[in-house]
Amino acid sequence: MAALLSLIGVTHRYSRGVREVTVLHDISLDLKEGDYACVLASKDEGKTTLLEVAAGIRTPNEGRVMFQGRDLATMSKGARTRLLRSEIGCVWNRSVPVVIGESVLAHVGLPLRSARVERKERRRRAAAMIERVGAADYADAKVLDLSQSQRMRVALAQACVRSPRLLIADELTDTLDLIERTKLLGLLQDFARDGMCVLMTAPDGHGAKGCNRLLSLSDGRLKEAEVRPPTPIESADADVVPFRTRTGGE
Amino acid sequence: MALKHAVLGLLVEREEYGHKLAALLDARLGPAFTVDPGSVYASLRNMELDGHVKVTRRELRGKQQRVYYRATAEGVEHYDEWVSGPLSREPLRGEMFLRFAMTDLPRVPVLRAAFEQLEQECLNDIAVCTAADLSGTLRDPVTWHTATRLLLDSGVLDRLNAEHAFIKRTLSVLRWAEREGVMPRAMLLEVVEASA
Repeated sequence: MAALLSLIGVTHRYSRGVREVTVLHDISLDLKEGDYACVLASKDEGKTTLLEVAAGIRTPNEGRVMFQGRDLATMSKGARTRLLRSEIGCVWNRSVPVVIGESVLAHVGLPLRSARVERKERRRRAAAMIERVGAADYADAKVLDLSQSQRMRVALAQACVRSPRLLIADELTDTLDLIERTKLLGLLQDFARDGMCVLMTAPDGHGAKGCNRLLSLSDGRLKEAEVRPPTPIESADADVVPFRTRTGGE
Repeated sequence: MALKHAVLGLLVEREEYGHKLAALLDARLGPAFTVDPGSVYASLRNMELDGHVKVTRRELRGKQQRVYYRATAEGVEHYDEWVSGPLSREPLRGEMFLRFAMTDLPRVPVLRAAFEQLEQECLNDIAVCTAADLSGTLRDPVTWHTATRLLLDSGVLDRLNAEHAFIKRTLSVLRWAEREGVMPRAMLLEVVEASA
């Protein structure tokens, strides 16, 4: 299968005080449809820069970024903007501008409004995506009234409402508890099974559950691991006698 | 690690054959422990010689024979001693830390290469522990062994995350040392705090 997104020899540097820091060093990565890739990196290790480069919103100092075989750097600004809006969805680990009083339904439907989708269809598609991410219970609520985990689901719904081919997510589950984190990661796994390519970052392995490609970014270098399927937890006791104390009974 | 005690424990619980024992152990211990069926069979042979397990029956399945085992009374006693014995924490003061502490600047390139290998191994282990089908839901009532497996998986991943973070920080310092000598204080503190 041809790569959907290719980073080829990508290098990017920043000035930090008097020194220059290379946050991405000659990085090459091919991602295809159905890939659910997670990059482990600590703070200030360049993970957000990596995602910004992959999303086409930051041009690296060296190297190329190809999306569907097209070099993002050679595209016109208009063409790149259209591509980003229709094919790439992003969820960033920073506050998303929200109109005061805006409902979840209107907020999720915003990308469709930009795409000039008519109102009825916009509401239908936004509602369907809100249902898909498990946010239907608060579809009519105001975004600013939501909890952190609810806002994450809504942000994910907004990023996916146009059915992008590539989803970029920056530390999506970092501030969530275990149950909410598992549910959200399960959603990403679901999207990947439907053919979406997911590229996300996490500070450690707990935020990478369910991915089918695991990478690590450190000192500007990207390493990848091999993955093998696990033994599902539930089957551990499929035909094992439940725990009994020595005196018998549970 | 004495896998044979885990095999014996299963045979205290029930009668079972070798291949099934390996599968049960795999499920009970999780992806962090790679249970090799060969090791299980070797454990069974040794424990039979020690009198801790015995063959209870043989079953023909097509062309293959299944040999079922069960713990003997001596085996149950031996297992009880193991379960009740002193328990120590997992080793902290391992070779990785020792070699890093004892390496001098001229030997840094050798240590850097070794740590890069460790980084890859650690990442592979994390990948094994994070590969999961998240579509299922854990429901009540949760059995005891499901609970132990969950806690074990989480604990193992905690340790791997910490090890991975240390290896990455160390590599940062080693690479700088290889190029330019000892890192300046401010940079060193940044590296140490990066995972805090």
